[in-house]
Amino acid sequence: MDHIGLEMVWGYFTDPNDPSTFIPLLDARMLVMSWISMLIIIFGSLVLRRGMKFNRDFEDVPSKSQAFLEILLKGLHTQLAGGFQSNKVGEQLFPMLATLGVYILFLNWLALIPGMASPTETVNIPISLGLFIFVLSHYYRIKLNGPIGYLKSYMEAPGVMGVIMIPLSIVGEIARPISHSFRLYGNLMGGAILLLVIANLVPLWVVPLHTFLNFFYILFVGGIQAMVFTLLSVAYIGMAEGDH
Amino acid sequence: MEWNISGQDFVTFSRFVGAALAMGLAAIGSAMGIGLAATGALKSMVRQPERQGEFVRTMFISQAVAESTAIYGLVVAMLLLFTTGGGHTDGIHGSDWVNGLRFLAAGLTMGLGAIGAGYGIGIAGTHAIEAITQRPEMSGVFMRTMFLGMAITESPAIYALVISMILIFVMGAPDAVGVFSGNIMDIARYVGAGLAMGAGAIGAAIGIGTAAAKALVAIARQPAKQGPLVRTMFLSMAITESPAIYALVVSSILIFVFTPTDAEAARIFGGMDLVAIGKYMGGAIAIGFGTIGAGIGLGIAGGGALDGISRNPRKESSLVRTMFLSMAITESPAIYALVISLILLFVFAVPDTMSWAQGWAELAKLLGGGIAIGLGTIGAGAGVGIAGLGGLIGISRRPQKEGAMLRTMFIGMGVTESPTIYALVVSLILLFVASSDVSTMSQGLHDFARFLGAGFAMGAGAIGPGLGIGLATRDALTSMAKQPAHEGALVRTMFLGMAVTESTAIYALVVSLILLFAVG
Repeated sequence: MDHIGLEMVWGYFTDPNDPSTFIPLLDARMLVMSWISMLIIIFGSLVLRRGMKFNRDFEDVPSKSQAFLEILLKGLHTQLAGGFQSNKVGEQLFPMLATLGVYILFLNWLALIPGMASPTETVNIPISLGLFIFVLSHYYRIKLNGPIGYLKSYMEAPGVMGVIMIPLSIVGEIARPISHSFRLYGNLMGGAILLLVIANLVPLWVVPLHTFLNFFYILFVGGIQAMVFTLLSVAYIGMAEGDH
Repeated sequence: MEWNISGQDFVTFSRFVGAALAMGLAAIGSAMGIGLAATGALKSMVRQPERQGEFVRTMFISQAVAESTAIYGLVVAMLLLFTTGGGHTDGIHGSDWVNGLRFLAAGLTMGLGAIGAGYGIGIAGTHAIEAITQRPEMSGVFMRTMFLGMAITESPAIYALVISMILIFVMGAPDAVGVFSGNIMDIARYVGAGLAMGAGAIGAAIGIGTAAAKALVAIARQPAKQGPLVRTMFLSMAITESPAIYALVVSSILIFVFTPTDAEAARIFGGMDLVAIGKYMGGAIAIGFGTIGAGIGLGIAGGGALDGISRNPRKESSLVRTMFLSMAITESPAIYALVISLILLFVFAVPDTMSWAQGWAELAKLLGGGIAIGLGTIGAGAGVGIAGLGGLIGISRRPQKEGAMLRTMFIGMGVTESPTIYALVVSLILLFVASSDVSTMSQGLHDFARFLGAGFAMGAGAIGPGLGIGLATRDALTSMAKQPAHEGALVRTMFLGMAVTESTAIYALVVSLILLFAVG
């Protein structure tokens, strides 16, 4: 086992003087970073909520910031809750999925603050989120289809082909959280490596270039991957609804 | 000049070559995908110049996803470059060979595995832009469908990423002075696992991308049928992914099941270890290359069904049924490859002792069997899918001729698959019938060339005919839909063309049988 590699993948490190003793120590930095992003989200929403009014009867025009946030929320709602066939499931899961999306977005964007890194650059948080969605999607499959319907859902095609598909869909099911979480991790870690390489190749005093690349890459790729992760979560849970 | 190469040198060399392979090969698919997305945006900008901004935005988003496959190549390249490889300084020992080739295999896995994904994402991206051009008011739906399609297209590349990380971090070699049987087995199974997953990811990713692309265009054509179309898309994607999952399974079996025993780890290596190389590498080549064609073909058939449903929504149930039938036949080449791969892995045992001469002959027998079926299924896998596409298009355009179309499609698929059946026969002959009882090294190498040549001749010789017959079937079916009155003439011409196309595969079969039985 190699300590550089371990640090790159897991954010673990071992005693560098004696790498043979494999005592994984979780890189506490990343844990703290994820708490910071949670705090930003919680305090940010508390602050934003202060000036807002819940006007059910459209009596008065909402303030500019409220209107903007409402448009954002509406867009998020059509993308996430619209991915479900039944309104009930969509409404039930929308707050969780929206929080998940915003949380991942802030985790990815945390690297914009100098001295901080995205916790999604190590595999721990993506895997835990991927497993969470995996468990949730199976819970909904059992809940909506019943135990027998759940077992039947492994036959993806009718007839003999469905029977052939059973072992395959089980392996596919296991592979799903892996690809789900490694997609987020691989892109964010790759982006961090790319920026690091460019920082080493181009002299640091070319500040505008570095700033531009940092902002472009972190904002753009971080945003896209947060969206992909959340939309895939919607699709995985939405598959529980089946054909009815 | 002295050649004092140490183990450390070899490991470092392999790490660098592995990094180059990972980055270089991964960039091929990614760059093609990025370019494809740009062509889509440019075409749409000519048609609707006033919506430039929207097209450029969509283009950038799909390019970012296509680029992420190159990013995986970069991740593996960096892991390889900055991992301290280790290695002995007093000459090359067994563990150095294993570690070096393990790193090289990790690079190869990621490089090959990213080619198809980058290209598939590009196809989905350019069709997404096309769909948005046609129906601006539905761009939200297209965006969501595009993201989902791209994410699933990327999955095979992510399996390759996981396998190559396992090869880099989890696997290792027992440290001992000298080269042992166990070292050779480790090399064969690590390189095999990498080749199986890397090559196995190519076809499925292109296929899933094709299905996603067709789904986007189909939704744009028939928005009222959005629900059934998205469901059919997911279904065909799940089936199209199965070849990549076969490859993942075989790759994991190679990594985790075939750990050398203590006796093998301590045995000085010899002719019997060539059998291990043939067994593991043959099994890997069979499944890795054997799933390329089927993956592409399944995606094409699924895309055909989506296209057909959007053109003729009333025939939905009959089209979905035809899709399942043609997918089942398209998948059969991949299943032959899986069966041969599992036979190679689990039926053949590595003997305790064997002469070098006999070892070379046995190596070629097993490797040739794997190559024959691995290469031999590429053409037919894609060809049967293409024939299915023809049938689906034909039925959707001319539903009243459904019976005749289905009959012609099944006949065409049967003939398309025949080159693969020849390859299967040669492969089984190599594994179970071909015998070699050699005593001298010269005889051993003679048989080595004979068996490997037989396998390669049949495997490579079956690629073209399979694809060609599939194309002939597709065009016969689409022509029947256009000119149903000339059905007889069309079917006659199709058969004629097929017969001539197939003769190429028969030449290959003849050469391979001559190599097997006539020249002793």
